[in-house]
Amino acid sequence: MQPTKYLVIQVRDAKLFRFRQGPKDTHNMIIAGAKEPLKRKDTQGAWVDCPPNTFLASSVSGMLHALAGERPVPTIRKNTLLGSPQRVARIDELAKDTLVQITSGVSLDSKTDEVQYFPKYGEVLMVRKASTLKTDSVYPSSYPLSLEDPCPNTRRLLTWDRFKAHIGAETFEKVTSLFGEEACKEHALLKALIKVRQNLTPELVAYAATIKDPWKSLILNGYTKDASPLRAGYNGIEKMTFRMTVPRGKEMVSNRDAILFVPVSEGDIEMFRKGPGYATLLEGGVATLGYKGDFNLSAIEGMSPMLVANAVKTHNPEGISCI
Amino acid sequence: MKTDHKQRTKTTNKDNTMKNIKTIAVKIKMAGSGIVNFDSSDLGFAVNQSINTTVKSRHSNVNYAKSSFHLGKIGEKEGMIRSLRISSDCMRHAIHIEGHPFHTPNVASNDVTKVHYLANTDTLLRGYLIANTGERRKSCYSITSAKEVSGASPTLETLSRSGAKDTSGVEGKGDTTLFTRDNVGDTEYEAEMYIDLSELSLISLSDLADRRAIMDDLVPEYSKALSENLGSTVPAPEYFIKRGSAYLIPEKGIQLTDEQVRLLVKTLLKKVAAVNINKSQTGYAKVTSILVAGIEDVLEETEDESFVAVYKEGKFSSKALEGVMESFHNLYTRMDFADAEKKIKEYEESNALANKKSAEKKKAKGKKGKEEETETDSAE
Repeated sequence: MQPTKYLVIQVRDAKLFRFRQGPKDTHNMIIAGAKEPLKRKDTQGAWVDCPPNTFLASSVSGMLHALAGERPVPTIRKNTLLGSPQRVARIDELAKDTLVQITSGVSLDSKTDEVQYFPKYGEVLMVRKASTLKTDSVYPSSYPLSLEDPCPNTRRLLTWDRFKAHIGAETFEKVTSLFGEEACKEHALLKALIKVRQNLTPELVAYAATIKDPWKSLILNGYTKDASPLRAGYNGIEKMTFRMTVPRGKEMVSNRDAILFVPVSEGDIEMFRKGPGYATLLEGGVATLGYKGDFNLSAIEGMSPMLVANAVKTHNPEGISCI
Repeated sequence: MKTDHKQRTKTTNKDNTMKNIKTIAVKIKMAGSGIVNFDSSDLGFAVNQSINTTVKSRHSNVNYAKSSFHLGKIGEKEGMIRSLRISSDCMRHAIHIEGHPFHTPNVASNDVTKVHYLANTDTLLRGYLIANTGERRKSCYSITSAKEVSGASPTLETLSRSGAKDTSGVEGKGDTTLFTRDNVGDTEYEAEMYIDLSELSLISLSDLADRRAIMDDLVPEYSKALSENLGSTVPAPEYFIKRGSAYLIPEKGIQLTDEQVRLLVKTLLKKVAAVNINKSQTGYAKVTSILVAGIEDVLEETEDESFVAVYKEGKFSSKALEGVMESFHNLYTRMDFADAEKKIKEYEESNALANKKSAEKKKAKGKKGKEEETETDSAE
């Protein structure tokens, strides 16, 4: 059945990194929480092969999530919302059915008068996504978690909240009662553990022996047995499986203005009423609901559909998931 | 304690029915002269094909101004039209130039410098990502690039750059060069900006939503520094749920008071009003007026009449802004501490189950793959 209503979204300055591709591309490198420290120019880079007349459905889905007041779920990197709620399925469907008209970087062919896209028209900019970026912004995955570890970033990864989430509420209560009041007053968990180790009681040693590693080793010895960094949210003990894209440096991007037409039902409209009315698309693109220009439904026929799935290319297909 | 939490949830539910603005739409007008934002010489390909380009160049040593290209008409001729612009990155840099005069990774190496950097109003408004620890905050506002609206068309100016004299006798060496650069007369720009008040009002301290702003053990120092910067005490961390969200997972965070949010919006708009991009050799562009409107229903079109001038002719009107921000109330619902803990526990359990299932699936897949491999080997 043909949808009767369209949500019109105006997009301005959406930048897509599309000119430098391949494994040598450090700009679009996905920082992987691998077991081994990640090398620069690793073959784990992933890139998006998106033609100049459309967007990727997953990008648009993220934007529609934000417009509906929901949290966008990353397509490529893993996130903390692993088990239960992932993306809102209805929004994914809407993203796939969306039509797009790219309005910038286009010209008319002098002979045929057809719309022509500039595949190589780009804007040069300095990408300063992370203001505190060092040469390689990799999570300190290879450091052992130790109380004597001088690396301030590593010791912060473990907090009281995470400790409780990992070992369970019951064990947490028993262990903290054995830690003593002095240690529990410490705001930083690792500072508390230093105090505990200075006055180890036989009761604590006996009880800690019943707890599984690496927590047993952490309480008794001050470091984990297998030197795992234990950076995880509430998903259990993981070894740095978070992935993160950190673009940086001088880069050429494809800058696109566009109008998106999202076919919606009455229920969908109410969903978008909850949101903030604007969202971002790709790098720095501002997407706003509503469009003041002429709106002709017949114009939709000549538009490009979204590019759906299989568009993320990678040398390391594990962990890559598209909608 | 429990009754206290109950009372709080009751009051917030009451707020839910009140009229409330979610977003502030801002229209910025700028005026200037000359070019303030340049692009690369690669732009020449598109510039030469535009129908409003007066002087074309085949050379590669041309400094082109940042531009956008759209289809349009000049007289009867239809084709690609070039219009000048100041990029949104340049605008953001100019807005926060006072608070962030330069960028250095060293702020993260020391607790004191890091806390003060993160609690700074500029950092709070602009957003940040500390890659080593994953601490991040999304910017509470989006700004479009400022587009030239007076129709000024740039011309190419030939210039020379003199450098050290080369005495090696090799032709083509030496630092003296002849190059061309875009130049234009008086210009007028327009930009749009949107401030998301829900994003601004919550400082997340949770890994669940993947946007932890600061690690737990630095929260007391952070709250203290933030309170000093905002001039009033920052509330203690609690659990919240965004109103109307599909995810019923509580998020731990600091929710700024309505007054603090109003102060931050005022600070941001004052920073925008002070924007004066000055390039000593090529030109300048400065903000001349700011119009503001509060958006309650995002699907209703904001009419031009509902915009109020908060900055005009060099004067900033706090009263006009207060009028717009009058109907703002917090956009999150506080959760009872025990309820929140319970929900998180339920979520953890379901998550652990899902993780276990996916691990088993992967294992089974791996085994199948191996079996198939051995079968094909034996067949060969």
